[in-house]
Amino acid sequence: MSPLRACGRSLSSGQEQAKTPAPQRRINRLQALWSRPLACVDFRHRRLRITAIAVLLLFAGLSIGAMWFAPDYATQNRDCIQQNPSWKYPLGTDELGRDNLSRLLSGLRLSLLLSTLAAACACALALLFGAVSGLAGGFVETILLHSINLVESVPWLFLFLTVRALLPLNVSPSASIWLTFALLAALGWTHAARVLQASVREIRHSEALVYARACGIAGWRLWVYQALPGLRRVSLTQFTILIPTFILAEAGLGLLGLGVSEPLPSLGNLLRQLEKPELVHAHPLVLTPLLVLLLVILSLRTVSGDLEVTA
Amino acid sequence: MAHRTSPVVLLRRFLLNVILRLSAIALVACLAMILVRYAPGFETDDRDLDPALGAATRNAIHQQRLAEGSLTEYARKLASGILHGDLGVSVALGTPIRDLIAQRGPATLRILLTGIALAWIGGLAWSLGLAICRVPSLAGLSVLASAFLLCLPTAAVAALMLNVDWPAQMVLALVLLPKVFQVTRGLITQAFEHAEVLAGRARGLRTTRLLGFYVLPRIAGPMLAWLAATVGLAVGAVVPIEVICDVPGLGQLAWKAALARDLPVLVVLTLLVATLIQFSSSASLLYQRGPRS
Repeated sequence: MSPLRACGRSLSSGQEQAKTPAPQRRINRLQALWSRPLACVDFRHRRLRITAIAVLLLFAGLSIGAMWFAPDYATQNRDCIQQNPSWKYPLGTDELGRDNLSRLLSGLRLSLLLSTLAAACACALALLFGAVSGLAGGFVETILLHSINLVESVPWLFLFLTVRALLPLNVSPSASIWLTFALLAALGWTHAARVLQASVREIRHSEALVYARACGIAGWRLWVYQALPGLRRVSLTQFTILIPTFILAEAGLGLLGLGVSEPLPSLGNLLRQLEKPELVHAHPLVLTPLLVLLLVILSLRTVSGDLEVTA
Repeated sequence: MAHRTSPVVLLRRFLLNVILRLSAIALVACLAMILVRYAPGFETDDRDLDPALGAATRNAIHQQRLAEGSLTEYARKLASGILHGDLGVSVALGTPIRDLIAQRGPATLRILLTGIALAWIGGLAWSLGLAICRVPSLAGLSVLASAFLLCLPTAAVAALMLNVDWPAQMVLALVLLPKVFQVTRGLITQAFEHAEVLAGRARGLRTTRLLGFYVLPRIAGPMLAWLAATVGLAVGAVVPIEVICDVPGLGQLAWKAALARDLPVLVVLTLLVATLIQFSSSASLLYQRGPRS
C-alpha cells in the first residue's frame, strides 16, 4: 500500500484526528485529496483498463455512428470557411468549408479500422516468422534472427518514409489508404516476430511439451494442440501493441504529407493544421484531433499493458 | 577470482564483431537498392505531372531513368564512389553526395548530440529526483506526463513546439525524454528492490548515499546499453523534426531525396544510418558480453 493511501486511511480514524490540530488536519485532507488520484496511477489497475476500454468503445461507436449523423466529410461549403463552432458545425469548419467533426470522426474510423487490420496482418506475419524460426532452431533460426536484426538496423520510420515516397505519384485517395496501412504491416512485424520467436523457443523446451511427447503426441498435433494455445496470449498482446503503433505511424506520416491522400480524412491529415501557428492561436479547436489521438492511444496502450510504469 | 580473457580472444571477438557489422551494413545497402529500384513508383517522375511535356518527352525521361536505375550499374557506381570517397552524385541536385553530407551533417549531428544529451540529463534527473523525494503524487504526475508524451507522434510534438518556437534539439529531447524516464525509472526501482540496497536502507543509509554507492553503479551498464538504443530512436525521430522545424540537415535531405526519387542519395543515407546504428549498438553488445567473460 502506498504511504499516502495509508495516510488517507489513518486520517479517517477518529483517534488520530483528535490528536492532530485543525489547520494541520485541513492541510492533510487537501494533500490527500490532491495526491490520492495521482498516487494510484498504475496502468495495470483493472479499473483503469475498464475505463480505457469504455473510452475506446465510445470513440469506436461515435466514429461508426458518424456514418449516419455526420457523413459529409468531403462537402465543401464555400460560405462557411473556417467558421467557429455552431449547432450546425459543432467543431467548426476548415479552410475549405468542410465539417471538422465529420472529418474527425471519419478519420478516426479509418485509422482504427485499418490499423487493426494492419496489426492483424503484421501479427500473422510475425507468427509465421517466429514459429518457423522457433520450431526449426539451429541454422534457420540464426538466419531468420539475423534478417530481423537487419531490418531493425534501419529506423523504421526512415525506411517507411523512403518506401512510401517511392509509390506512384498518381495514387488514388482510396488506394493511398490501403498502401499506407499495407506498408505499415509489411514493415512493422519485426519486433513482434522477435517476441513470438522467443515464446516458441520457450514452449519448445517447456516441460508441458516434453510431457506431451512422452504421452505419444507428435507431428502437427503436438504443435497445433499443445504449442499454439501457448502462443495465443503473446500474439494477442503483440496485436494490441501494434494497433496504437500503426495509428501513431500513420498520424506521423499524414503530418508529413505522406499518409492518406486528400480529400479522405485521417488523423494524420487533420493534424497538419498544427503546422500553422496562426491557425492554432486563432482556432484552438484545431487541437481536437490531437486530443482524440492522445486519448485513443493512451486507452489502447493501457489495454495492451504497454504503459506499465507504476508510480 | 575474476576470470581474465586473453588479448588474442578479445581481438578475435572484436574483429568478428567488426566483420559482422560491416557485412550487415553491406546487406542493408543491397536491400535498400533493391527496395528503391523495384518500388512501384520508381519509374514515375515529378515531371510526369507537367502538362507542357509531350508524350515523346515523357517517354524519353522514363527511358533515361530506367537506364540510370540499372541495379548492377548502380551497385558498381556506388562501390567505386565509396572507394573514391565522393559517394556518387545526387540525381536531383547534381551535387556530389559527399558535399551534401558535409553541408548538412553538422546540423543533424548537433541536433542528435544535444537532443540525446538533454534527454538523458533530464530523464535521469527526473528519475533520480523522484527516487530521492519519494513523493507519490509527484511520481504519479510524472508517470502520467511521460505516458501522455509517449502517446504523441514525433511529428505532432514538433508541430506543437513550432508554435512556441522551440529549437529542433529541444524537440528531440522532448521526444526522447519520456522513453529515457521510463527506462531509468524502471532500472532505479529495480535496483532499489535489490537485497544489498534493502540492507543499506534497513541500516539507515541516506537515499543519496544509497544512490551514489549502490544504485548508480548497478544500473550504469544497462543505462549504457539503453543510451545506444536511444541513438536509433533519435535517428528515426530526427527526420520528421527536421522536416517540420525546417532544419537543413540530413533528415530533411533524406525526405527531399525520397520525394525526388533520388536513388543514390537515399542509398548512401540509408547506409550512413545503418552504420551509425550498427556501431552504436555494439556498446550494448559489449555490455551483454561483459559479465560472461
